[in-house]
Amino acid sequence: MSAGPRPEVRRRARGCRIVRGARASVLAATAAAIALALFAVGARTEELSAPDRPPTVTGRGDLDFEDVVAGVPAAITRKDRHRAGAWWIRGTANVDVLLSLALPPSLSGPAGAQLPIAFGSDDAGFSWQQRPDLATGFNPHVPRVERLGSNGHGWVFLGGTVQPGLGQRAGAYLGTVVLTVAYVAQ
Amino acid sequence: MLEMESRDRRRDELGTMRSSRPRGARLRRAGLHAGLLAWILAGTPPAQAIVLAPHALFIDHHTRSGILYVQNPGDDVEEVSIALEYGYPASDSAGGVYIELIPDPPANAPSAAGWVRALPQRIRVLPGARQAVRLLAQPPAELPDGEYWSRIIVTSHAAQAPVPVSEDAAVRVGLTLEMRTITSLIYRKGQVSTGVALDDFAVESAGDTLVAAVRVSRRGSGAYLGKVEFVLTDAQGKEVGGWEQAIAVYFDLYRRYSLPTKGLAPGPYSLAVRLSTERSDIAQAQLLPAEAVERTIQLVVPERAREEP
Repeated sequence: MSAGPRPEVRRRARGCRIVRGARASVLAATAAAIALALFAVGARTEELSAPDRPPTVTGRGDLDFEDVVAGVPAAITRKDRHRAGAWWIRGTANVDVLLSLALPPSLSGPAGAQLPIAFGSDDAGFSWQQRPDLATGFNPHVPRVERLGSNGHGWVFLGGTVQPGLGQRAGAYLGTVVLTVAYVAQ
Repeated sequence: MLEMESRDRRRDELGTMRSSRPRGARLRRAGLHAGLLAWILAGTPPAQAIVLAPHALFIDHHTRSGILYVQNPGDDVEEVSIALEYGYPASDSAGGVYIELIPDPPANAPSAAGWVRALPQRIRVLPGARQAVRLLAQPPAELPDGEYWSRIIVTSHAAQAPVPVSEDAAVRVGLTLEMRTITSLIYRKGQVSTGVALDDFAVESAGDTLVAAVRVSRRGSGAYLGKVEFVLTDAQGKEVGGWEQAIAVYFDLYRRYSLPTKGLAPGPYSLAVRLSTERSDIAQAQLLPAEAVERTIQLVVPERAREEP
């Protein structure tokens, strides 16, 4: 395994500010609304989150090629917000996480048929927002260290290309992509 | 709330996008539409997620067990497997960091992976539910005092992945996503100490960034879990920048940190580095104390090339 580029370190907090008057009221109302929302969530899931929380990875979109034409390669770009694979990572703000993707060389279809799939050196992207168009590209074959945003969020997007042969057997072809996430300072 | 909104939006966009696609070149037939519609509706990717707590597990030789909680905040049943493997954060020659996983560690490695078991190793977690997994240690009888390490590897995927529906002439492709989360396990027996030695500290200026290179090695018998801080001061002794980052030193570590310094005037500066075990993401009771290590280096920020208007 190797790592990605050097991470920037986060700026130190400069201390708390005192909030007064109307601004404080607005903040209090917002806090109450958030508390109510959290209570509603907590009633169902009993959230385990804390200010420093473990990395949580949520699959938010499978790579979706739909139907493809035999003999014609079909590509999905990582910037395709409808069809690109997407993972949502939530964790501690501003911490470095190691991202590693396990990619299949082919997909399994009917009667043992295989469908090749390729991932290029710019087919993965990382962003602090759910904006694949703003994501920084990286090679999905190479593990990479990225920093979660100040809200503790990060998004990984993945594109790829399937290469059906002229005589590709009809049917459903399936495969699995595995994203591994780890904090690197534990 | 955010999750639900995003998913609904994705579903809407998916429908719009599909209806606007060209159809002539596809292996799609009129009879396929019903099947596709069913798949689109049934196969819209659900939110899959697993939350683990704690994110760093410490086990004491007296209790010899710990609890890892696995929570499913998603909408579908999750199949979760838990495995242990010896590993630790390590660095490469470029100053990057990664997790070194060693399935078959040498006999002298401080590995706990061989004698800590997860019970159970496979679970199904219902939506909104939380399950406890016990990490049970059965160390060798003559285990010397010290610290022993493992990584906990938790793999999860939806119990029932959407399967694309295909009719005779269609080639349908579906790729599902699986998640793996790696957390740490530290087993302590007897007196354990830690510390860190700053073997090398260098800095170079690279445009609007200072690159600080830090080479450290661990002291004592326990992993050094702390943070590294940098403070930049100008020639008058005024602090003009400060940065910090968590760090874990299990053996040796070489890190290169980028310190953004946009707007910094050219001239002489001092950059101080400080390594300490003060960090908030791990319970204080679990942190091994160590004396802080500090060093200061002088540098000159050069005149930058004037930018083109």
